[in-house]
Amino acid sequence: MKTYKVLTTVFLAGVLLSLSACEDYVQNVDDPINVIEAEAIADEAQIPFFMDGVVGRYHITHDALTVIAGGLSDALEFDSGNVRDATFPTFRDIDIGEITLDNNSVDGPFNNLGRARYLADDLLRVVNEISFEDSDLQTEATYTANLYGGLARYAYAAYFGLTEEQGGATIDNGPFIPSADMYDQAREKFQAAITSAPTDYDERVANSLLGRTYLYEGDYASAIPFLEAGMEPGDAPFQSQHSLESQNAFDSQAGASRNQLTVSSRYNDYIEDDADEANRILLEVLPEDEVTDAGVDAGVVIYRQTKYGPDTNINIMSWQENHLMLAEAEIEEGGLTGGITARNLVNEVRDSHDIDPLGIGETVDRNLLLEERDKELYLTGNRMIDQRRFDFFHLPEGTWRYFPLTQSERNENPNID
Amino acid sequence: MKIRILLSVSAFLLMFMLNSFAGTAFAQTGSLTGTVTDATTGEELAGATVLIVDLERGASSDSNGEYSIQNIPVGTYTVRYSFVGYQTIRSNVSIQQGLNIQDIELELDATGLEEIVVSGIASRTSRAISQVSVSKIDVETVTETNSFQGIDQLLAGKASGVTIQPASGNPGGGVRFRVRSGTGLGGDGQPVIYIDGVRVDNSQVTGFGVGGQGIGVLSDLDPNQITNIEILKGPAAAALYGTSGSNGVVLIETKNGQGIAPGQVHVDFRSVYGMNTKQQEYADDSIISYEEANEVIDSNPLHENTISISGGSNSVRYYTSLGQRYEEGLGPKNYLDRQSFRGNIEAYPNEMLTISASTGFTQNQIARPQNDNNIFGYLGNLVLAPGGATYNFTAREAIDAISDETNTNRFVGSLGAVFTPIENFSLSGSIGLDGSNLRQVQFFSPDFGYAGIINGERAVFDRENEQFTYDANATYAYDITPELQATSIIGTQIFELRRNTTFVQKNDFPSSAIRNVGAGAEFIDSNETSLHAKEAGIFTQHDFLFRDTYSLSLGGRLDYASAIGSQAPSIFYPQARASVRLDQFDFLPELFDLFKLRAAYGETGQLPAIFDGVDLLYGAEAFAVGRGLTIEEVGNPEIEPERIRELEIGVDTDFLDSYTAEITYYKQWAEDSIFEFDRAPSTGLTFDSPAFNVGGVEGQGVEIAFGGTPIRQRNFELSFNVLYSFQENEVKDLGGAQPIFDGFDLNVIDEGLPKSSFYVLDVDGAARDANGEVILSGTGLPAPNVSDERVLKGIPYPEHNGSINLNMRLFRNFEIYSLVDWATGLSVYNNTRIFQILFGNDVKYSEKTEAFLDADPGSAEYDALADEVANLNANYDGNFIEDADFIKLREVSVAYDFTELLRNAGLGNAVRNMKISLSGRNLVTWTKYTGIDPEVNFTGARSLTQGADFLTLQTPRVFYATLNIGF
Repeated sequence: MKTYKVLTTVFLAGVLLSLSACEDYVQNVDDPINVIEAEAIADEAQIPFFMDGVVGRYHITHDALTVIAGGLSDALEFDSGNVRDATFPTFRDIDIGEITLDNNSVDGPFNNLGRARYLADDLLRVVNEISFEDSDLQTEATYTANLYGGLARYAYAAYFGLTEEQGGATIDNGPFIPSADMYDQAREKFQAAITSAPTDYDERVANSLLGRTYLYEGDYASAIPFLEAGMEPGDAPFQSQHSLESQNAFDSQAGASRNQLTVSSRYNDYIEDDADEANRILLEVLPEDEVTDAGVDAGVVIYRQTKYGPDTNINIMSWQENHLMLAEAEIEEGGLTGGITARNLVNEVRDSHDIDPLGIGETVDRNLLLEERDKELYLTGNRMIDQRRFDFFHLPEGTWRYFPLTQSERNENPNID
Repeated sequence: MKIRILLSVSAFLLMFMLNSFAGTAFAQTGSLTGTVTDATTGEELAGATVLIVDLERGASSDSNGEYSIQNIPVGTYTVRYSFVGYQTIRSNVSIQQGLNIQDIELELDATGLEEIVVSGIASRTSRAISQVSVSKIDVETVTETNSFQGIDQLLAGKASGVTIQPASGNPGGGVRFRVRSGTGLGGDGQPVIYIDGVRVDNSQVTGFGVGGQGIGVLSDLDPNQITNIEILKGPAAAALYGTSGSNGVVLIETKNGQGIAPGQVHVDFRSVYGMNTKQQEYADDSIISYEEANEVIDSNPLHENTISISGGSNSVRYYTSLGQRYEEGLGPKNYLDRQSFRGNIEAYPNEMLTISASTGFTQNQIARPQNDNNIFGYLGNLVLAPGGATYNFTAREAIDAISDETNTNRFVGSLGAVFTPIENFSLSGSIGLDGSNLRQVQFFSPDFGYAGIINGERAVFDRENEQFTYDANATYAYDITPELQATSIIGTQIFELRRNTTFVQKNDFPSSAIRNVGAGAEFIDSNETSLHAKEAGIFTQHDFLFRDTYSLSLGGRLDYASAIGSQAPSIFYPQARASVRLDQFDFLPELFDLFKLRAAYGETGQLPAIFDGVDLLYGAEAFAVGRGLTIEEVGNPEIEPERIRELEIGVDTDFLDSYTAEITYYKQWAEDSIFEFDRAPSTGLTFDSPAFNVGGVEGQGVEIAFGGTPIRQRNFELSFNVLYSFQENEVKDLGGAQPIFDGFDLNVIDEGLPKSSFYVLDVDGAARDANGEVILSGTGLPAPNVSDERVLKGIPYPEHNGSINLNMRLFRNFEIYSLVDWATGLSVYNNTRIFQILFGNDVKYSEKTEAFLDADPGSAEYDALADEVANLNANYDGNFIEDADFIKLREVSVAYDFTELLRNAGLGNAVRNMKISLSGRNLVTWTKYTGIDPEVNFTGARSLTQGADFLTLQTPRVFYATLNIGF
């Protein structure tokens, strides 16, 4: 019995000790190697890393969004009858504007756009909390946060909508923000970016982006001052950057890797009309082994873009686009400083691609400008917006002119029905 | 003084020598021999254990049922006669000098009354006393004539309240267990699985995807090494297993040489040869490309060989086996090649100490085919064939040039000891390890073009998993009064998990022959993860038994875990159980051997994942601009553990010496359920799905088991077992949260609906205008009449299911075994059909649309066809959620036992037993489901998406022959 008592005492003591040690024991685990908590981010040394996260996130949003924007516009086509790779019903639905709310080809860019917006705003929050020793870094970070916060809001306003024809989106579980109000938010951000631009080039980029928001609302008078302060010939394009590790979605969805979407034959017509257009409209005939048997039998010729490979960058803004925006403002509103003409602006853009200037007999009007934009801004996501704002959408009434706020947003956001 | 000492020593030595001499010269001994037979049939029982309890000496009966124990000192002893499946007999035997003969007839324990079942983390009790429903499967018997790839196949249809859904027909693929109503929302919904006391990894590993299917790591376990499996099906039974036990606990015990007489060595060899074939052919009235589909998705061989050696002495018992199973699934690039070794030993160095070691090592190679949601998939290219033109996305040669192999080395072992320093008091402890290294290599040949891949790709994924289980407990059994016995247990259990993964992915290889990662010119991606988590629990249990009639058990467990950042959650799980044996009273007729009422209440839960309580965790992501910050984990600082309560009541009866019946009703309540769901994309926090306590879920169900042996004669025996389960659950409260949908917007968690319901827009025929005329869409086909709101279209798991198991023995040695299982209230989303239609490869849809276009508008035929075509409109998921109830002839075997024949031929001493069987699995399925297999899921076995068939490989029909021979 004595043995029993001793053993019991020892065992119970062990259990009681383990009771008190349990909490400490379970917390004594290795730190994770791949994550850090928020406090570690609020450090000046982490800001360049944070900025790359904001920039990189928007860039991987921009390509996917530009692809589907091409699909909804008349630039890209889904042709399952003739193209072997054209298989995703989500792309088919986008192509015909009958987009269900759970279209997961829309989910991806919409989710990433939200992430990019969050990170940009969060970067600004963190920047405002830190006492910087490196003022240049602070300026650059402030610019980056505002510029990309503005770009995210611009994309919401330009590409998404609550209904087929009601543009706008939501932010942070809030109520629906119509495009006009979302453009206002974008402009506030771009204005802040202009104020904090670290270089003249950065300032010009922000001005071009801000001016574009007015242009897309048809407010040319407001757009002109910003466009005039915008990008200039010689400026490198402001682009989303892509690499093999972070590939351009055109390659995998509408390019050499896979042809869910192929290019409208209209672009080949441009080249047939003027061979020099091939300098800016890059395409090729789809190889026969990628055409369906039915397509081969029918002798169809399908084109696919060669502008983008997996690691090709995409223009978000260029001096050429700024010029064409100025030309449009001149045509629609007039009053550019220094009497610059739309013709000169367009010709300067054409010349940058070694394309002959417009003929003297060619009237530089809205139609010509829209065609120039179609060629110059080939597969940059602008065509869908042009079709909408000038009301020449190629799809019947009742189809989507925007990408719908996704089912996930409608499910989870209590402020929209 | 020295002289007195010297005299004393001398006297002692003298006495010792005299005693020794007397012992050797005059001890009288006898021998005990006899025959052990079946009391009903008179059949000799080979392998019965005869133990002289007082001397701890024994023997086992030979192939003629004869036993013999020599050199027994004259006296009276208690001798115990036991044999698996028979009622144990204890007999007082008086041993005289010379030969003593005692023949014994054992009665069949047809109802399992004496069966010992688990009753808690450190306790076992007889079925006659157990206060909870525990399913126990005698695996050793089941596997004698049936061959199983893994324990999922082994368990299917054999335990009430347990549904097992394979995700696909891939050998070694993932499996989803559903235990009872699965009321909790937290975790992966899977039971905790222990092998010989070691909590083992039951993950589904995906690595680099092949379209949806992962590797089920349970496939590393060879079912032939198992002796039995017990399943605790809910918190009422599993409370003391603590956290994560809410979905049940599966306890697997491997073989250890039990039942073999001391000094004997058994050598057993088992060989299986067979083939996997299609359960269902692709039909000519289903898809145009049926011939090619049938040609590629075709039969393949399987074989399995196992040798085991087991035996022991009075102080040690051992079992060792070496097994190999090779099995090709349906179609190419699809196989499992498993080598498994087990060495178990149990030693009794003295009467106070038992030491046991269980070790299992497996090498498992699994090749997964490309299928499911995948343009490189065989089925994708065979079924999504425009107008029947196959390989629309990827050429056959290119698909054949893709390889995906996963190699796993896995050790599962434990070392334990039970120390009994004094009678009725024991201390036991064990340490267990489940350690594995898994390496997946996926290769796309540079000789072919693949969408998104530049000149070939090699992707390597490595996963190291180590999990330790430590158990220690003390048990004391005591009599409070002569009629009231008690047992008290106190113990602790610790679980520690370390898991590291790494991967690298490169493109642009110079040739298909040079495929090391370094040869790839283009870096695509690489990363690593690490996880270290611990759980610790302290438990106590106190059992009381009054007059062998009333039993009461009270207990609880306090659990701690590493989850929630710096605040370790601790949670207490109580349990209380009681039973009363009414058969001990006179008012019940004597036909009842057992009539027991039982009730049990218990709580378990699910802890949040380790980082669930941290608001945000930041990581790095590779962008073209450089490595940029991203958010890796989105958490919820308010998260609390989920608690699941269960009340279980039941009746267990054994009657007429031959029948047993169990009825159990349970009700489960989940509170503060943990569920990870996406935040609205507009929040920007969709990097990860944070966990929320979303309210509550309630579930309930009924389980019935009825079995018996109505006929038992020497030459003919018939036994049966019928299982039935009903289970339902309902999400009661989401705490104001929006409905939670899976990634395909099909399955929902929403208030008032069962978990994971199909909740979609439905179509009710064609839309009609005010005049009743069919409205046509732009395609000229009828516009569908779509419901205004989503409707409940079914659930992806059965509401009712069960099985019927029938065993017959004819002509003494000829055995027939069959298992039929069924499920109702089950729906499956036939996404394959949608894509068949979209790709113009659906024969019936084409016929219907052509007929509609040819029909006269306004005619009855036109109207009917309009409705039919609208109900096949591929834009609406609701059209393709199908009734998938099924009845399946799951297992059949016919066997002949040659043992008697060999014995009569004088070979009984050379061959201990021999049996040959012919068997089949998944032989016939009756179902309304129009797809190929109602039991698959294209996103694997752990996804929120459930019950969705999308180009998923069917589970195979299997034919095989088995030879079991023992020496």
